[in-house]
Amino acid sequence: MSQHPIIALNEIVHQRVRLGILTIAHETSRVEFGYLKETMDLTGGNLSQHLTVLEEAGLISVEKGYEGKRARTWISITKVGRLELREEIKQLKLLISQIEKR
Amino acid sequence: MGLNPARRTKLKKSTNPQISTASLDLRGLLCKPIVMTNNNSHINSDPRDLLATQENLVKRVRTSQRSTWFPLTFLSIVTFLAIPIERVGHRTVGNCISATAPTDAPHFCRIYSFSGLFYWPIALVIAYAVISYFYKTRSRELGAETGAGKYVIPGMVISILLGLASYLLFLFSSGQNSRLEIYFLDPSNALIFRIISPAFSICLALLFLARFERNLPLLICDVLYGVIVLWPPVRGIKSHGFWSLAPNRVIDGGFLMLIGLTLWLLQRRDVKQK
Repeated sequence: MSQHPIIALNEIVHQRVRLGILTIAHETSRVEFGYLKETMDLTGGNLSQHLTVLEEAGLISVEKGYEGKRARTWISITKVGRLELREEIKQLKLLISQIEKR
Repeated sequence: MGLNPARRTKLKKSTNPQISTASLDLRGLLCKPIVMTNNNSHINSDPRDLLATQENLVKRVRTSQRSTWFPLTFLSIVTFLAIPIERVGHRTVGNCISATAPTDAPHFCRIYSFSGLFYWPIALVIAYAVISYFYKTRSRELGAETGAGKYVIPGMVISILLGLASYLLFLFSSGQNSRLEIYFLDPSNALIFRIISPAFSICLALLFLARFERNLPLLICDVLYGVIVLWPPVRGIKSHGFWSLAPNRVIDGGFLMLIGLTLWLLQRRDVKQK
């Protein structure tokens, strides 16, 4: 008997903001902190906390640098992050299909 | 309903902020965060809602990354630039003979743009390099960096391969009375020339751009462009003499420019709506 999709969900990824961050990072080769903040309508502090969680889980990598005099933070999704995101989407779809079957 | 005046005075006089906020809290007059957490997965964790949000974000990012107008405008300029170059460097290849042999049959001459053989592959490779640089710079400014390699590399490969095919055909079919020459002099076999034409190479590469940008309007416009490039009634529009290729280039370049402008307007509308 296969396990219920809810068990297969990754708690770190299965969170609205973090799923959003991974989704945006997946669509780009790397994404800037300001773009994430604006697109997801988050405060800098809130976004930073979610980024820390994702970075600690090895799902994203954070790169800090300068462009001219302006400090920039670039975020890119890791291989593990891509796999986890794909898995999350798969499990969500599976969950929806199970709900709709009832 | 009010505070006891004595109590109010006591509160006013209190210099300890902890006491005053605590007493306000007791009366339900103070809102303050009790704890900060990242773990708010219980909020909106309905799978349908999460998936819809995720899909919406994907669309938003892709729309913001689109710069379709630039490659289309640039390629239309490259097409227009070909007119004077092909005008200077065209030549008739082989004898002007009939494909069906009898002397009273209509005669066909094949005119080949010799300078075009070199102009197109070089111009297209440079164009794709410029387009790649543009995408990189623009996406960096936007904050959502992306490379256009999935469009630019196939575009370059197609241009080089079709340019090579065109050159080989020129070499092998220009021998006098060769079988190949007779084959290509027959207008019904002209499709192969349209397939190896630079306009069709642009059309093929645009399919990759439509896929790269997940851009349905571009795909539809590209199919229309393909029809224009391959369909004999449109390709049949020709002038004679030195400017023989010019009408086709005007149509191709004009259509690319038109698609570029239309998609730019569509994108502006989408961005404004969001």
